[in-house]
Amino acid sequence: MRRAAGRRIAGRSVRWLSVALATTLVASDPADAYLKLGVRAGDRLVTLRWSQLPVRYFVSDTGAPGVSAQQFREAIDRAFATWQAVPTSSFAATFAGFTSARPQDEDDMNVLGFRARPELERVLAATTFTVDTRTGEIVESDIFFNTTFQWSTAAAGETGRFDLESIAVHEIGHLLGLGHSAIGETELQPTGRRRVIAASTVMFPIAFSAGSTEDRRLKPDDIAGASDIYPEGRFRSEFGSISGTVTKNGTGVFGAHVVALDLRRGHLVGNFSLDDRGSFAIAGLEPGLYVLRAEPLDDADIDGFFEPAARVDVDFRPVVLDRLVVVPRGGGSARVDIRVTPK
Amino acid sequence: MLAAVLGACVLWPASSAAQAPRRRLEVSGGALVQGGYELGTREATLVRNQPGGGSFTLFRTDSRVETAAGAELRVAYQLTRALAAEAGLTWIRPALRIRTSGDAENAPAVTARDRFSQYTIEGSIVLHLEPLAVGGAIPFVRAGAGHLRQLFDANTLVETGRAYHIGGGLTFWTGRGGRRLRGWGLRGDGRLYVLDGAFEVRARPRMYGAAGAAVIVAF
Repeated sequence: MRRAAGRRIAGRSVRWLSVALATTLVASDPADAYLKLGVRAGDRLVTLRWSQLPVRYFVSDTGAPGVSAQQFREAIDRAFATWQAVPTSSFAATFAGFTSARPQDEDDMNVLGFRARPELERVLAATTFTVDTRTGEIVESDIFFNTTFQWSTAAAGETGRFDLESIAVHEIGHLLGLGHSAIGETELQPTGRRRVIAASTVMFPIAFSAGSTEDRRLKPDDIAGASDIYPEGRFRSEFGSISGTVTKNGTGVFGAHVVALDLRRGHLVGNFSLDDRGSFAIAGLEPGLYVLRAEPLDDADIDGFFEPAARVDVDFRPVVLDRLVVVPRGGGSARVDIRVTPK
Repeated sequence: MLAAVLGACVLWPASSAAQAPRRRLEVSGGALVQGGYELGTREATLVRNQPGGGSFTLFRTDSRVETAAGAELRVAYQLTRALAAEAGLTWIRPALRIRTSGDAENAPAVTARDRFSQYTIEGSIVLHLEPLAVGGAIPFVRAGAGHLRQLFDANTLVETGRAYHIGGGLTFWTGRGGRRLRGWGLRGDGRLYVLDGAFEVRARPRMYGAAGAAVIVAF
């Protein structure tokens, strides 16, 4: 995360935040049920969210090689529509027009567009925010797509080009307030970079290979997160949660990744232990029986999830909990303790 | 052919050596053993980062409901001497066993086991085959269906389904009474159930067997 100097608008204290595809997020409160973006206001953590919907977004009137402005707009519209189609989430957005403004300009407009950022050779796209640090209200958010990379809006994707709609779905997930999810597996390459082997969330910090259109589709983990921030209708009364702790030798583990498998539906939803007691909570779960698995955060850079100062413990072996967890309708499971052992 | 045999059993008078008492109502209660059954495999899968996608298995689960004992209560109303309409209530507390294995990062395999309560309210048609009685044992056949309810974790989760059954057994009338209490005896039977709904890993019917032994009283 890059933090610029704060500025004041109409008596509110605002701060400019940046979230790139592979950069740091602020840890949210351990009572929160999903890794959300947040800011520190004094000694407390405030979750970022839009207080007024629909979000009005502008699209740059300048395209990029291989993508016209109109094609860009249509892909962005589809990406927003993907998030709006979540039946348990009230998030909404509306196209407000084309603009010559560039993303990341402080202009009180939510702008999506291209920018040439060759120095960010590992960053496909990034989302920036202007927020009210007292309330966590998102005042403005921009998304840029880096023209250092080659882009495509082809219906079936294009070999060698990144699918713009897929990357837009990920970035719009940040725009609405979601952090990164760790439901994925990677391998370390000789270059020192990580390559995704597989994932089951569009909010994984590392993108699928160029040409893939997989991240156009939201997964259960993404849907749970969006619904948790913007619950719609009877979401809270129909879905449940799992909470507990991850401990090692009796001590809480911070930053453990916990995944819940819905035995009936096969859905995977995850979250992290977010305090020194190892407390975690996973919400947005359909009623049923679950198997829990805890693993260290070792499939992506830690600063893709937590601020650098966070003391994430990765010195433990993955473990599956040896008891079933029952998620009731509209309620929480009995608390569980997942005990892990050092590597 | 089967209809002809059953029709003959309904109409043919039984010998006095193996006759059920004349009765309107039968009440029976006793023990039940329900057989286990497989629920299937569920894998925690991710989408592969390759052309065409494909699955990557993070870990695998195999689920089974284990054999368990319980109790049941039945009340039957005699429509004819041979044919009865019966209502039954069964209660059982089996264990659900989940075995995890094949973890992509070598998390140790574990077995989780959790008990749940299961109630079934069912209706049946019972046909007593007195002409086929042997040595005082009167055979019968039964078929029916019911509503099944599974309660997990102190009733915080309820799963419901439908259970269909067919089976048969033997009734031994060991004593005869007077005007009110017409008789008493013992009953043993076996059943095959087909379960639809309730907790499932794969959306498909499951089959399991059950056997019961009960004390029976006729009014």
